[in-house]
Amino acid sequence: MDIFFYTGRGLPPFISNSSFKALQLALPHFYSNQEIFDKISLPEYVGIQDSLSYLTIRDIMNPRCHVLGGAKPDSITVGIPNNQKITIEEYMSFVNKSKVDIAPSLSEEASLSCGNHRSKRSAKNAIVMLDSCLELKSPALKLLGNIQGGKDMESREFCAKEMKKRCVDGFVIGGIDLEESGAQLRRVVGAVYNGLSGDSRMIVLSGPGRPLDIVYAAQHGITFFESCWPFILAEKGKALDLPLVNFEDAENIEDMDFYEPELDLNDEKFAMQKGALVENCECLTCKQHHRGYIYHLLRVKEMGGNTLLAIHNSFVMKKLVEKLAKAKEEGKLGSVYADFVNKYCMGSFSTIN
Amino acid sequence: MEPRKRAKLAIKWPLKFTIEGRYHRARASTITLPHGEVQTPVYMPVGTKGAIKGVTFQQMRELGCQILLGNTYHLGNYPGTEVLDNFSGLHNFEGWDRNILTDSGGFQMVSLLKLAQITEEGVEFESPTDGSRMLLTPEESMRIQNSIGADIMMALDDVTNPLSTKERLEEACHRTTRWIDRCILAHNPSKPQNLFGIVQGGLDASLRDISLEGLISKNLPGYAIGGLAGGEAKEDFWKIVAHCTNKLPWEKPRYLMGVGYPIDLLVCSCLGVDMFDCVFATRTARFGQVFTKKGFLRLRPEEMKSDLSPLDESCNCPTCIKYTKSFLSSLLHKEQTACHLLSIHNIYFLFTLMREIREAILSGELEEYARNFVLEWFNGVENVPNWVKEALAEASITLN
Repeated sequence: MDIFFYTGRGLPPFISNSSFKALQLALPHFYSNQEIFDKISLPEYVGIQDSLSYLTIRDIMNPRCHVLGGAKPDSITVGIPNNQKITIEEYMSFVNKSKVDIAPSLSEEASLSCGNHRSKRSAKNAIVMLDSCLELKSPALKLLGNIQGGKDMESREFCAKEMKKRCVDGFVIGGIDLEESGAQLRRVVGAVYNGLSGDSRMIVLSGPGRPLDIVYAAQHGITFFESCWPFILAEKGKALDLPLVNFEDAENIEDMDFYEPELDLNDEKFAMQKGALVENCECLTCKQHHRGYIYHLLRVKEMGGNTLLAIHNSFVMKKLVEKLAKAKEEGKLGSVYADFVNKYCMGSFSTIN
Repeated sequence: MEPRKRAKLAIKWPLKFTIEGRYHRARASTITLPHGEVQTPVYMPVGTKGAIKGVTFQQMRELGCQILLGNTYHLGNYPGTEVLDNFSGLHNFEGWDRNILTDSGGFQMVSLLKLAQITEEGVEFESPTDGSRMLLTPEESMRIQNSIGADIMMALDDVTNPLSTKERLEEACHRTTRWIDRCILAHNPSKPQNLFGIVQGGLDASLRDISLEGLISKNLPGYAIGGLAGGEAKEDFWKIVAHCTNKLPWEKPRYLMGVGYPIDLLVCSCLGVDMFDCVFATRTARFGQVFTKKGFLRLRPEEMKSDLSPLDESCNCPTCIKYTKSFLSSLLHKEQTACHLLSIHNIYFLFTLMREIREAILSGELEEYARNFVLEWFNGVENVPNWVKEALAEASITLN
């Protein structure tokens, strides 16, 4: 179980010396200069050869980076840099040449807000395109079936069931946009969970990777998570306020929306506050810096403030997934979502007044 | 005698300066300060508002940084002395446990001149952020620097562009000497701090002499050479540096303010300067320019698209170990983090340069080191400017 932290062009936002074990790389930023990958692998090129590299077809943090398909399941069009059309052959040639560790099969991205027609079409086409990708993949590549279907739960489940029959290395629940979170996303996770029913291969959840969604997905068999959420919060001057002590038992609360505890370091109340962002947090930011200092950096628009928040937020997310992995090992994943919500998201817990 | 003045007479500056080696005018030394030792010659990166742009203090520690700069004017505005006092000073506030040097705020007289009125009382600024007025007197500068708690404070000086009129330079020179007494009198620390005076006088050696005489008599723990790097001719620049280092006490550290070009650091170290600061290394990195042993290198995405070599083949910085010119140039103006990688390279380059100069002084090989560096930097003796040759000759170093 791990997180693929977001990078667009190979570097996580705000952090120039990351040591993340698993990272995303967004295809559109490397596609036009692919000749270079005849000489050097993509992970080496971006300096992450010691980490697990995971290719994404879109750049989730770039609003222009839509991934569209058509009636024929033979190509997609990626919004950046300039509505680039990519066929299955071209895509697999790039993927094989770039030598990334993991890549999804080619598919259009049908988000949870797209219409019924596109939702259904995306699922059917994703299956056909997966078969073509499988024929072209190099042995070293871990190819994931790209489960589409938009907001149509039947299509999602159907797509998952069909892909489960294929000789793929795992699956990715695709088509989750940056702003998508909460109950509808949990229903998609549930549909895919039913479709894959106990499959032991790796399953990746695409999208922003917010803590609640990750916890819910982990309880439903997902083992890897895309996440750009630590950096989005850091950009806004916010810190995740999750001390991550033991979870507690609770009732099923899957259909409700909850507050994810955050500290807004832009608030003047932090100006004089000493101490870590989150008490007992072991991240570099919390061990070495005061809340008041981070408030100051944000106040004078020094990017160091965002950097320290990104370090904290990504550390918290890593710890969260470690906790989930441990709970899985101990067979305690069954109520983890409810436990998490009760512990952190009911507004009862706050380190700051 | 009132108690406050008795205390002033008893000032014992918490600085130990040990010269460990020399090569004619150049020195390799250790400055022992309240937050540890600083090996010289040293380049001090600038953290204007309490942070080095894009580089964490953890990264600065890993790069071997022993002393950083903070800017009194900016820190006095934000976070302000109330916050700094609440956190018992800047070290604790920003989480930096090594040494800090703060300027006096006087530099803003030049950089924000349109917003400033200079009188005998001090300098009145208009805040560029909210338009409020701030009077920076020697007493106010010391009050802020005492709150910051820097290991080395700079006395408020009347900074003028070296190309100003003789009358203005003379005024600045005398005023700086008068202000040093007010700084010493106002110094009221809650922790051990040192005060350096700043030699002014523009490009006029006789004015510099007046300034030198006035400051040296105060028996301060160290001295800075100010008022240079303001667009003057290099021939004038090095001569004033040489003039000052010649007359400053041998047994005290000398700090050349605002100078950070690699070749200037080398030449002035040879002339006997111990400490340097400049924002150039990080500022130029943000525009995609880096230092290499062969001179400046500007990243050009189209030209470097297929270039898989590092920024500098001989560099072992975290950026050069991991990344190629092709990758870094592809990120330019698209990913801010790329600028930070370039900043790290430039800071590392200057740290390495200073360490190598120090080692060359200690091993008696400064002439050979300086010659190799200069010839590589300028790509051959025929391209070396006369001022470099003359300045190095003054330091008993020839290029042939």
